[in-house]
Amino acid sequence: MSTEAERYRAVKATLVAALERTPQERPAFLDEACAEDADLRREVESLLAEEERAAGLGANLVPPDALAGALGLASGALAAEDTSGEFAGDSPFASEPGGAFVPTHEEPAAGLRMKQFELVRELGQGGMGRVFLARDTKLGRPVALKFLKLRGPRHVQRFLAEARATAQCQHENIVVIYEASEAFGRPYLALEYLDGEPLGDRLAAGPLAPAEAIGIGIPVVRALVRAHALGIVHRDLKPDNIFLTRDGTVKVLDFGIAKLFENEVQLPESAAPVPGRTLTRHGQLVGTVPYMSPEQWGAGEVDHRTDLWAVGILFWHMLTQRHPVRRPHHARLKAALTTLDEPLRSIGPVAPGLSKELVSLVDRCLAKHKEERFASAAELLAALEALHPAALASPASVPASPLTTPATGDAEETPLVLRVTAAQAWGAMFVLGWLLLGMALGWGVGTSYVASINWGPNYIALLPLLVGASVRALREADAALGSLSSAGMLLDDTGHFASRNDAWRTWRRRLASPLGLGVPLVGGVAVSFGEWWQRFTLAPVPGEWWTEAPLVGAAGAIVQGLVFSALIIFGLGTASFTWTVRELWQGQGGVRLGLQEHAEDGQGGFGLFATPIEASLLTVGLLYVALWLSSVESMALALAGPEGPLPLSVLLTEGGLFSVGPAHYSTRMTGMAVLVTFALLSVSVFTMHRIYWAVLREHAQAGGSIEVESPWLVRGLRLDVLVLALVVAMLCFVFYKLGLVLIALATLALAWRGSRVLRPD
Amino acid sequence: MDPRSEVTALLESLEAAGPEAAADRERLLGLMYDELRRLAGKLMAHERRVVTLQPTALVHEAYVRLVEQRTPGWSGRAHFLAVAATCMRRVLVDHARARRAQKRGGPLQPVTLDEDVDGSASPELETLLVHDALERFAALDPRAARVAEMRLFGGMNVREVATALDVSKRTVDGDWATARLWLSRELSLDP
Repeated sequence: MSTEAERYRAVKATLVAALERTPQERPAFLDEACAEDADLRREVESLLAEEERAAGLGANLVPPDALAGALGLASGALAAEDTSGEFAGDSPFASEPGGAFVPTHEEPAAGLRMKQFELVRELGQGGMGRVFLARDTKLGRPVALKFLKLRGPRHVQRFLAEARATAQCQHENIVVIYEASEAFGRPYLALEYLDGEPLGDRLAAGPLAPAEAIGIGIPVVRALVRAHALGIVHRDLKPDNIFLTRDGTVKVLDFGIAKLFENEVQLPESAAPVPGRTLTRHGQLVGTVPYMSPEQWGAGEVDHRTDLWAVGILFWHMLTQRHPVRRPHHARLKAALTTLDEPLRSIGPVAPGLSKELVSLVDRCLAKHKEERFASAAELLAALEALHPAALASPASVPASPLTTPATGDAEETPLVLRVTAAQAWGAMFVLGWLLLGMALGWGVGTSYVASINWGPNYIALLPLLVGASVRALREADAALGSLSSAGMLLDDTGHFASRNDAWRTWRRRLASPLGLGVPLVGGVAVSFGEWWQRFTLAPVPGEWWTEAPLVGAAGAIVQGLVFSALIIFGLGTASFTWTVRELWQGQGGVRLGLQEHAEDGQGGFGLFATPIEASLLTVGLLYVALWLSSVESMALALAGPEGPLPLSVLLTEGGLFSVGPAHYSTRMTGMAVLVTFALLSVSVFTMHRIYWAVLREHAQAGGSIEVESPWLVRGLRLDVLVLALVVAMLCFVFYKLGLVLIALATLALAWRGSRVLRPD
Repeated sequence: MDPRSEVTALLESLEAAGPEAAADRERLLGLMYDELRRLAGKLMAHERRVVTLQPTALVHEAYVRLVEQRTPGWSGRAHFLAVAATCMRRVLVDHARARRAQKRGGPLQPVTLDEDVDGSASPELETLLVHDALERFAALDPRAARVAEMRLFGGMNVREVATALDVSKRTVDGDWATARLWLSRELSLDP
């Protein structure tokens, strides 16, 4: 017994060590680890051989239906049960047969067996059929079974012939077909089971970087090269048919299957717009509508170049999450794609960070005349492979003026999309933030005379609002830059077209400067530390943790300082960014900003703030008013406190601005830091606002059409955002001490997310 | 005694005594078995359209209902889940046995197209096979068998298992990998 236990321990230790190595390294490791022990090696290897199968272990061990059965809840009994909520069965194992294990219908379902396959669970449903995870009990491997929605002997025969041809198509980037046969009166395919996710799921999370998109595009095109060589056209290439396995391989599914459905196709004019969805059979369109080529819409014969078109759409999807046809509904697509002599818009202006080569490659895939596309998948592959290293380069290597053609050529076809009303809403939210801050400060001033209280938390409570607003402002600035670029309305000082990358570069340069990063960082930490030090030495409050644990208190102060610093840096960056945009904008000489000019041309009446100085003065001034007005108590104390009315000089300097009581030097400094940030962010928001307005006006005057894009709009306000902001702000005020840490974390997360979303590379 | 506070007390003593407190575990199992059945019945009756019961969801729901929220922290929850895994295993194994007995002795039932009569590798059979294999494995490596039980029957993640057994995540990873491969091999040898 003890030898058996020892034996097992040795096996386990070797096994665990082997598992930590890659499959390629394992033989060498085993050579070494089991040098003199062939038995040990055999044992370990026999266990390692189980790896693939072990992944499915327990897959149907606790299927929900079995659980229901185990708990005595047969589905039949369910309907008869009353609503008392009490469990009616006597025994935990009611004799009622659990419907799950009995095939009462002819549909494939989890738990059923079919030939050597055991259906484990449904993996998904598509336009063409249902897919199940199954276990091949003979070979013990997991397979994916795809049942197609085709019935009738003629269809089934055609399908089988087609599937056999497709099965010839062996390539590392094409999913393996183990078997094509028929069951439940319908044809099925037994496919290699892939562990990972479809590209469609990945894209749901956001667009891909160019290098990543090319990295996926290359294997897809390789698969096409192979299939086309055998005369097989995919016809339904789309993200859901491209699978990214966990080990990083790209596999293309469903070659040639769409063809089987095509004879049934008619094109109904009334089909509802279903972007990104596959319509089902019987008189409806087959194939994924946005991915269909002009040929598939009826303009000419379908050949292998249809797949190259789909690759073009795929790149649009991966890089921009958009379609070259705006709002690609059924009817619009058909109209847009069958007018062959009007080229589609280029991807360049929509994704300004792309290299020229990639832009022309994608555009060429999407030539409506198939003769103008790449002649073959092999040619496309060569072009893509040539791009791969180049695509890894940062946008810094993109020439400063990537926009050689300012507009897409069809001005009336490309309306300017602006989210101007959303910007208004965020402006309004900002005002709300100001009001709340005023209340917070008022409260702080009111009580600070009586007891030394810390109203820092109230600032922190406002941070999410603040950062949310500024992230939004930045995103809108970015979108505006995109609009300006694509409309050819953005010029730099030299009169060339500027890209938004220029603005971002400036932004980063300013952030990285000592003034951008160093001063706020050092200043913020120093201020917070000073505050703590002052309290610790001058006014220690017994029982407060931070006076009794100086080190923790000091650490806390530094963390607080860092938070404030981050905020200031963020504010500076935002302001700097929008300022750059404004400079670029003004350089074009189109619209002048500023109160003075505003009054002269008499046109605007929209934005109040034009320059940072004006904005800062105005906002800080407003804050003072709010502050004083909101604190009646502090007014009373200032005018008729125990020491009588305070002299004006005191009110304006040490005692008056932020606290009427004993000077809280560092608290005031913290307050100032927040104020400055607020002011900077205000500038950003309102400057962007101004630019938006100007762009709109300009565009409208030039006769361009404008599309306003903003969901949940009520009278021009994003009510959802406002309500949410209000609720969050209120909660923060009520529970500010408890929520302090949480809020600080949320703030940082927001800022981080914002910076990730915005980074163009 | 109110089951809620009783469960809480049991969990606390379990936490204090470690995995050795066998009597407490048994008592907790009994309470949980009843609650799981009651809860499942309630869920199914309440929402008639619900046709799936997720074991993990069920167990977590039971936890919310059975344990007083003030006391056990993360580790209390892990202990609860660990016991729930055993409970779930027991429920499923008993059920599988009953169904198999019923299949042999009970009225004839329609079977799938070409399924052999005793329904090889049906969910019930698999449950029993895994259960038996786990018993054998427990003789060899009790801790790894426990890990496998929690992962397979309790749907617990590695971190929860590590907390419940009071070992490192790394240890759990190794145990789970070994158990998986061992069980898989055992099951393929014994169809």
